[in-house]
Amino acid sequence: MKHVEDALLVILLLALVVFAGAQIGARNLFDAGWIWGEQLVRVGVLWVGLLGAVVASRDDRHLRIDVVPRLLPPRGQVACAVIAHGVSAGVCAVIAWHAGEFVLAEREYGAAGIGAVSGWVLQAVMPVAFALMAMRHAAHVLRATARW
Amino acid sequence: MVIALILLALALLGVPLFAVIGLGALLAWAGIGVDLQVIAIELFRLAEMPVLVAIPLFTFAGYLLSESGAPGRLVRLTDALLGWMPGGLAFVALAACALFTAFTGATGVTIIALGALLYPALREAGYPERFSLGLVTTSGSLGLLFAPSLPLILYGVVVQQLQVGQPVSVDELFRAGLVPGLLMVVLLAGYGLWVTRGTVQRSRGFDRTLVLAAVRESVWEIPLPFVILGGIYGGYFAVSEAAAMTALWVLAVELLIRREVPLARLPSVLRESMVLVGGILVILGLSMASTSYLIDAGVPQQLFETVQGLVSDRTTFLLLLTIFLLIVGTMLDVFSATVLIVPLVAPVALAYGIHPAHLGILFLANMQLGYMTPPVGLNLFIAAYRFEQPIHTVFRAALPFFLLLLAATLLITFWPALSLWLID
Repeated sequence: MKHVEDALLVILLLALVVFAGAQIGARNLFDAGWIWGEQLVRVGVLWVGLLGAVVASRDDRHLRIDVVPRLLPPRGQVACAVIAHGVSAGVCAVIAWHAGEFVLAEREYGAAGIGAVSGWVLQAVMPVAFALMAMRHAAHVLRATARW
Repeated sequence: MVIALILLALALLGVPLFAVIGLGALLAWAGIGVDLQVIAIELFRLAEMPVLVAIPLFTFAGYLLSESGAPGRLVRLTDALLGWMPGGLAFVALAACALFTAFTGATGVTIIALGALLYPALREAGYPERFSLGLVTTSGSLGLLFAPSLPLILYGVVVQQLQVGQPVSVDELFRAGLVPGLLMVVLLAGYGLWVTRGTVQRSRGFDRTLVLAAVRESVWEIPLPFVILGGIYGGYFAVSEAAAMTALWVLAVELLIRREVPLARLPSVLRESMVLVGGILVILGLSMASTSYLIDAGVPQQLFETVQGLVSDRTTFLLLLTIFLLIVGTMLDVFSATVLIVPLVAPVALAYGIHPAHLGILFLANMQLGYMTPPVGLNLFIAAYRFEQPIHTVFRAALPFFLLLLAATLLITFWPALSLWLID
């Protein structure tokens, strides 16, 4: 799982770098960019960002204020970690659920995508990423309780 | 109000900020009976902003550069160009760090990548230990105001989303930051000159062969600042175009020519850079959901009316804003602060007639100070860790630099022309 996420993230980022560069080169040098190219780059940013967020959840590296937990005794730190990851897991799960409903509705409706790719496929990264994040944070809760 | 206090308490207990913001947005929208699919709709707006691609691309390029031999070459090049002047080495350190931080986005990478080269060099050249430590600590966030710094891009994106007052583009912000950023570098360089007056000998005169050698060595990196700074400041290309070219250039040079980062290490460098980007983008995406609720509920308008009832003139407002931002800066990192605080502050500040570009520069100048203040000053921790010094020693060493930057920040705040000079 870990390797799949990492590999996907790295491949997507490299594709984004090469494609965004080629796109701009083509537009400026030959005056012939692709209409769907810019859309693809923008969606690529969403995908790379959300996959990066999944890895940040896994490695517990999201931005946070960690003044109070640092001042607490070990058990207090465990309690803070449980609260932090518990809240994160819950929020991610709720977002994943509603994002899933949104994607299904878009599929039903047949929202426009890029070329032959339907809109809902491009949006599907949202529920998937938040579901993965919810699982990661739930796993962190379990790991933290083991330290009690 | 109760919800806001609970969210604040959760944030202080160390709940990741994206989850706090997401929870706030969920509760707010659910509270007025709106379908929570709205969160996904707002989140997908991340895929509708062309300028946003600059964030992953510049971060990628910055991380890859810092893993290569570029930091060493940058120091040697600036040394060859500036090192012969009185107070030269301090100036070298400041200039190199500012340039490097602009590329890597003030995440402390500069202290690790450049500080390790500059600190011993400063000590060897006879600079006092405290001065040297303070300088490298400060350098971790100096350069925040120069293109293509990530926080400037992020501020531009956030303000554009608000759609209040006159629109401001990221290009304009890059131009606005130039003079204030130079002011900071020059002030600190002057301090370096004063501290070392009479003690540090000039080591050599201007040496042409040294310059030529350094230029030849850095031949693949030298085009970068010209492409980015020249291209953007000169208005030749858009920010996202400069980002795409930079990223592709750095990748090609690193993979095909330099080969300083082993291929096996490349994936982990890429992943590291995207952990930061993911953290920023998920906060940005969810905060768009919470911000659009706030706008829907008329909160910025209420906030403005409340503030205007208490503060009548612009100067007092700016003074209070500075104090508020300094406190915010001690708690929040620059990315979270930009996404969370700007949507609340900007509508009020703009209503007082403050230019959005000026607001951005003074906002980031204040946040830069936050990197050097306890309890969460990132620069302090990284320098303490990197140079194996107690944190209070690092703080004392950085204090004169902090005070100078505070003076610069006040100057920037109350003298808008500094920021607006290159715009109008």
